[in-house]
Amino acid sequence: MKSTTGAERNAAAFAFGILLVVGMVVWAVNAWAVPRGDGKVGADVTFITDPTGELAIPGGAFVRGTDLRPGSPRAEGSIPVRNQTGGALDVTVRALPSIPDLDPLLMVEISAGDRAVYRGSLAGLVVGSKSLRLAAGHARTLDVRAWLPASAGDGYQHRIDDVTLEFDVQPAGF
Amino acid sequence: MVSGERPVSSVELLELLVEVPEGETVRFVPIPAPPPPVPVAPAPGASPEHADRAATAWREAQPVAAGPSRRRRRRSGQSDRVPVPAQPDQVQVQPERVQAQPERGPSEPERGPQRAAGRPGRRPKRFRRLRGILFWSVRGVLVGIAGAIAVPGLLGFHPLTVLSGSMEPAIHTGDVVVAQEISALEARIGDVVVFRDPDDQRILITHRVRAIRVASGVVHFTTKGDANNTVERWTVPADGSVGLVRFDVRRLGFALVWGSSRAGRLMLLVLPALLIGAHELLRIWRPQSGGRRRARAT
Repeated sequence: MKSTTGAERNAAAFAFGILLVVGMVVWAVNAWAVPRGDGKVGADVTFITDPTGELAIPGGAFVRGTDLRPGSPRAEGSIPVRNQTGGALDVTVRALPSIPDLDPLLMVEISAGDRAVYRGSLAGLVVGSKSLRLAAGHARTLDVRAWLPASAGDGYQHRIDDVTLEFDVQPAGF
Repeated sequence: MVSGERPVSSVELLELLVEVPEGETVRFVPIPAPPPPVPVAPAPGASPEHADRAATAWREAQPVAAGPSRRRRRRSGQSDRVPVPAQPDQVQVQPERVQAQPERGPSEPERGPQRAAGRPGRRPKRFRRLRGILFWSVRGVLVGIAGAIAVPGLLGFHPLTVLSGSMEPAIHTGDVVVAQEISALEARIGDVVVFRDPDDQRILITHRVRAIRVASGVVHFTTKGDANNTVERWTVPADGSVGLVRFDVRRLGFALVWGSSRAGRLMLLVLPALLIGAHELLRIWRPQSGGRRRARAT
């Protein structure tokens, strides 16, 4: 086997160092690249809470769906809801969308642990969900998911919908 | 260091002078001439030339030094010639290598046990080779990084630090986006672009294009941050340009912002200076091992 001289070895080490950086750059270009737009923009959906006096609910947006398209991954988030009154409450959720365009297209699911509070289109949630009972001082976490089903037709593109969730409360058993 | 003391002939003296390394000095110590040799009675009928030839033959018949090679003997400070009796026409030379002559440690026979024990104080060849490879690899990496930093700038890429979360979750606060200048007409819906705030031209905004309309030589853009609820509308001349975000490097902006702060700049200057100083102090004060390095340090 041909032995290498010190100069050859150093040159090879130097080239190895440069190639290492080139390899890292190639990796970074792929990993850090921001994809270009394809001329279309999906729907942007944001769910915002509307606090009430009976319930302790953090304010602001808790679900953000960006560039939602049919079949794309769901937008999801969760929010804790605590009954801060002295008696049990039946809580229902209502959606107040900023635009009506997505009402028939967007699917929404709200659950409290294992119990499904609502599952259906956004239009259905405008009417209201099933009620959820909260004992005095108790809290539950609501998980909210929103998506455009693969079967959804056109009409979602470029839409920006801010959906406010309104919590209607009634004394339990009323 | 005295490395030898012996009488030499004129010719050997010249040889020694040639061999003395640069920077070393040789001190000549004339010694008193020994009493004249007992004249050898020439054989009856022998001529003076015959007597000279006999003396030469006697010198040549002296034993030649045996054992280690000449180079090894020199390394170990041993004389490579066997002392010969002084002759009347010779001066005794005491080559005193006063300076720069490294103390060469134990002679070859004495090194035997050390070598068997792994030569303490002398770095193995493999280690030096690995160190050289590492050194040159690091050099290559540094050159590559310098190129990786310089080339994007030459290609028209500009890094910008993101200071807000308006593009979450696509682009986070503290990220560094690398934008490339493109014609306004090349922008597409869905692109993330950098543009000047229509309300304050000093501020650069990075948002996603939601709508583009070209009319009367003007491109009308509607953009929105992914995490924002509102859009902004702004225009650019059709022959104008916008920045197209090509890359998003996570969290690098925090380091850049820190580096440009007063404390960061101070640390970027002080830390390397401390490291260099510590390295130099270590280099000076590190316990020397091995005769060669000890001699170098003195």
